[in-house]
Amino acid sequence: MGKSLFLKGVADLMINRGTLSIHGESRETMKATNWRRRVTYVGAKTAWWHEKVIDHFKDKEWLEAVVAEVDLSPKVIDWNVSRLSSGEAQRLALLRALEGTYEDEVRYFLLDEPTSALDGGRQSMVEALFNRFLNANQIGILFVSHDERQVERFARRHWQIYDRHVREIS
Amino acid sequence: MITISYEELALGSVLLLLNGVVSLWFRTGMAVTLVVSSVRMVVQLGLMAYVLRYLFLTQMPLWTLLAVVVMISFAGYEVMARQKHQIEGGWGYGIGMGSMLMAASLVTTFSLFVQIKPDPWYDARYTIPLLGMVLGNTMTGISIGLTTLTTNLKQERDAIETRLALGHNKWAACETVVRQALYTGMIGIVNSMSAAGLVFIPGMMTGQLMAGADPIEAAKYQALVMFLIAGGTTIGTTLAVFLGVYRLTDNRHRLRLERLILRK
Repeated sequence: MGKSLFLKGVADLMINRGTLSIHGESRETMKATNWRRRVTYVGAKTAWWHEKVIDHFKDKEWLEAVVAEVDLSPKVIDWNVSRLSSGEAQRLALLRALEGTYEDEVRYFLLDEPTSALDGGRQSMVEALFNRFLNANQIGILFVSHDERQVERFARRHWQIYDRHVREIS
Repeated sequence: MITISYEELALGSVLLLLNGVVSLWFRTGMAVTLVVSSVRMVVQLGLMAYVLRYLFLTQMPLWTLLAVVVMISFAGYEVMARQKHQIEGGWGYGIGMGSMLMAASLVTTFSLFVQIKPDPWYDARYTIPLLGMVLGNTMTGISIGLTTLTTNLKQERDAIETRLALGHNKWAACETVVRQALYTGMIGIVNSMSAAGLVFIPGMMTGQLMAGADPIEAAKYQALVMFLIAGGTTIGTTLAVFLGVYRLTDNRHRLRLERLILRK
């Protein structure tokens, strides 16, 4: 089974037969929109639906403060999305998903090759940002990567999907 | 009123030859369709004329109702036949037919009881032509609206799924697509209202003028018909687009584009 399909299934974006729950609350009893706020899938391809970057965010101040952490200039906030390079779009899409993460509620992210369009230095910056949230116990992450070194560096636990089986690698 | 003979009518059809020559010369692939649709047009109008003559004569409400049902069914079928991506199963026809039925019957009944008030109210001389005009335009609105909806849902799939993944509900996620579908479905009637009387004289008014009606009365009738068409198009297109979104998503706020089949 494909990794993306698996992640989309967990996020309930596709018909699936799994049973899932967060802290004892089952997915089926939660509204789908609430489930996806708690278990958020971020695809490898980025997509935008408004004209400008800022229109996709609610909290401009937060965005202005956080863009530097992933090596983006605050100017991109007011750009049209058509101007974004794939690397800029990828980092902004991650910020868009992270927006609205507060201390009172742990959120889980299903990230499908989230740094595939970034060079090594910026990959590390994105990982550092994730680590900041992770260390504050605000988020949990399931991360798909094809980059062995990134796995070495970033992963705390490591699974492999091979021949339709999931296997944990210690 | 000046009547035209069958010979004169046949001479008029010579103009179609022109169209045929252009289609063959430039290989638009339309030559066969042209022949089929022009023959259909003549046969359908002829049949309609005989049916109307009979309906006007007998004034039987049941026959009028039957004619109404047949007209709406054809319109519903036409809507679906024009879709490239069709919603599968009974829903596909149901959406087109249901929106059409709702829009046309509401608007036509409204005009029969409030403005025109024929006696009896179901007088076929008013019911059938009114319904015909409303249906024709509503059909276009619904079919363009649905085409835009399905095409854009497919095209904007990544953006919609991204919004759903971020926890937006299905109506919010489809918002831009819905707006676009409603807009293209209704722009036709808006355009023809602003051009009516300046750029063209609408068909019904032309008919009344040629039949000897007073221009002021004809203009009043035409304006009323435009209102009816605008109302019918709005009701029909809105219903069809929202039912379309309802069917192409589910209660877990997922996009269900596998319910769309490509029409051969």
